[in-house]
Amino acid sequence: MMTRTYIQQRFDVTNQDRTIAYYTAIAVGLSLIDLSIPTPIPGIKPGLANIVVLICLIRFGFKTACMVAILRILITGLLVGTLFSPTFWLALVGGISSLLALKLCSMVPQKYLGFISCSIIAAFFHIAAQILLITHWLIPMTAIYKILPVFALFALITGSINGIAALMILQHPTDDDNTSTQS
Amino acid sequence: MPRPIIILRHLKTIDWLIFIAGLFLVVCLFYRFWFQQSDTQPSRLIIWSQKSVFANIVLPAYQQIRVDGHLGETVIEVDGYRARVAKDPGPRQYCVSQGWLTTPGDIDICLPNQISLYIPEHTVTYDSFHY
Repeated sequence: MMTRTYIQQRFDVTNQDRTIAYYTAIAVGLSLIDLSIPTPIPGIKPGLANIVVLICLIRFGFKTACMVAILRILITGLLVGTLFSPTFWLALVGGISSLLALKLCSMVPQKYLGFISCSIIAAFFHIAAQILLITHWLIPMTAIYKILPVFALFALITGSINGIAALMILQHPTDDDNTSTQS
Repeated sequence: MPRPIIILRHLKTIDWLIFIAGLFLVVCLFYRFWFQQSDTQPSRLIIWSQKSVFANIVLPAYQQIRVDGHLGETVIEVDGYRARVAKDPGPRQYCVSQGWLTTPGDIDICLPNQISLYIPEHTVTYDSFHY
């Protein structure tokens, strides 16, 4: 039995809290890897953390996925030093809109919509919200729309790859996935 | 724990359909924003010479304008909805090599000769990101 930390003594830490913390930690790690991958065009990232959000959505439901996604954005902002900067707002708006897309997708009966489809749709929502934020607040110039097709192309590619990656992980569950609930 | 919402073993036909639809959307966006004429055509061209507005031209227009600047004469070519600096006495010719101004918001500045071309946007905007 591990020594209880202050937070554990002070608050009633549930298994769901542990799960959220566990998956958020993975998502933050993946976000940091994301940031260190060089990309040809600013703003284009693989979005590896979204794999974690997708997995959470399937395993634990929408609420946990939301918590993980939002906490991931907040903590990454804190770690990288971009909290409340334009980059952070872009990430937040993208995150919220893709969660909204996932919520809408989960309302559609399973036989009409696949998992990869949800991932692709969420990626498109992500990029659409970011472009809207850019054109209405950060850089309100029509020239920005020139980069939209490139963003959309990468959203399609990364959305598909992340969806497939999440699916593969879900099909091969490992013991590590339950570590958080064992303590 | 809530039940999984969606469980999938394999890629479904709908996944492929969504992927193809996404691809189609990307192609449409490329066509719309890269290969199609912009909706927002320039309506005016403002030419500044030193500290004052030299000319305010309503587009489309077809003319060659000669402006006297700090170093000498700059030749500006207006061709329909686009404009460029055709000749400038500046040593590095940056404003000439910039080429045609076609989109609202485009600016071409001949710094040594203190002459600039500007296609104003329909609504005045600020680039807060770079600011």
